[in-house]
Amino acid sequence: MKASDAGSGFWTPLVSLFFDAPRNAPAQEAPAPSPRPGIEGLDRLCAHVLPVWARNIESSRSQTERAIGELVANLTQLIGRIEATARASERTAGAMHGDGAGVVALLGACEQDLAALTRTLQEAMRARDAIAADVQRLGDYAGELKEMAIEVSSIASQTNLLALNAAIEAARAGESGRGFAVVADAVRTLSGRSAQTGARMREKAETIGAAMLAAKAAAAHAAGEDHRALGGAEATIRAVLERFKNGVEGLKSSGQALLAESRGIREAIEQVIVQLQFQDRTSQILAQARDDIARLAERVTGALGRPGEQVSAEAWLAEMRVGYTTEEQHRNHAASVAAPASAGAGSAVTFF
Amino acid sequence: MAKTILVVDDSASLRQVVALTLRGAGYDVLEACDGKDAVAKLDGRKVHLVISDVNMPNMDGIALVRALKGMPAYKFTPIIMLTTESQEAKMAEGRSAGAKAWMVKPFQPPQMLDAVSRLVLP
Repeated sequence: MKASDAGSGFWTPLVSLFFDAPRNAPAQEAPAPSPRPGIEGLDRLCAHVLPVWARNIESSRSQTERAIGELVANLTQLIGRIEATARASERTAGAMHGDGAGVVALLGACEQDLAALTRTLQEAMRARDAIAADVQRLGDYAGELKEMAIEVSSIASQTNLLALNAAIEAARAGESGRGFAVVADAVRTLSGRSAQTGARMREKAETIGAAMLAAKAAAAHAAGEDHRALGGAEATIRAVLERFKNGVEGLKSSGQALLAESRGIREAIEQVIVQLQFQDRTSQILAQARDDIARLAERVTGALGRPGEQVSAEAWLAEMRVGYTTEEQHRNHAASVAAPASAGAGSAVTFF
Repeated sequence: MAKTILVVDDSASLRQVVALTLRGAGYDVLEACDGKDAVAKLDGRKVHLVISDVNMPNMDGIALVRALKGMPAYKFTPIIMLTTESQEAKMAEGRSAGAKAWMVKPFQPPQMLDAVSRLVLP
């Protein structure tokens, strides 16, 4: 479409601006009003179309703003939850390190308690070994008693032999040796009783000795069993504690990894949120485009009943420029090619 | 006790981004959606710094700075303008109104925190 198709009056410069401006010419360098005729009905078309454009722009702008706002809110909540998780991980890691009532501290306390228990068992075994030693000594005494009983039996036998010889000599002495024969007989009786007592003592000593030997063997067997059991218990305790320690180390490592990962995710989300600031710039640019279009629509609608009314493109452009807030708008105004977004640029701070 | 910073911007998402940055650094944040809302929310309350947008409905950032400088309670409260505006004329307007710094959006959190730490009241 060419400007020659456009109507005359105030639409001419506007239509020329829209349709005849050279593609590479700066926007403010609009051509001068042309006497060429315009398009029939263009003013009415603009009066109807421009408000629709304005509403579409506003709709897009507000939808984007709302969506970005919700996105930022959700990401902020996500950061809060990640921070809570990170704090929980830090507490867990702290507990793993053994401060307060942590797992490592608990494990250490268990180890100490179990060590105390094994010491108690070892002391009990030492006491039982001491009793076994006493039993051993009693067994030795029983052996000595048996020897003494044998000695008593031997003395009784010799005494009996002596009494027998005395009786023979008393018989040989006749009447004068009769009294001595009675004594010899009494001695024989006593030696017999001594021999019986010695035999009983030997039997009892043998019985006691056998009992002592059995007790000693039983104690030795029990001691061996106990030592093996205690050794096994200690090995089991060490193995269990070692497994616990390995488990705790694993938990500690995974907790620290989780903590580091949480921090990384939180930082990444914070960066995303910061990058979403582009919405503020685009919203301002769209809002101004919306307002300009709406203002133009109002102007066109107002001019419908006033044929011949003039409008200055330069003045309109200058008015638009006053409302610009971003660097891109100024650059777009001066060039025909859209300026790249500067939302990713670093912020500049000027101190007064 | 954490220092309080008033953040004024008509964009809710931008306020959230600024608040997130400041809260992450240990500041308390008070939010307002424009100059008028900021004055209402201050209501004599102690704030250690104000960060304000420039282009806002009802009362813009420059008008807010002028209003605060006219209030004894906030006469010496430092104000940072955070805006998409980078034109010298606008900056001069902010400076003459009484703003202490001019920061162009989009901001980078470390730069904002640096500016805040340099200006925030003790």
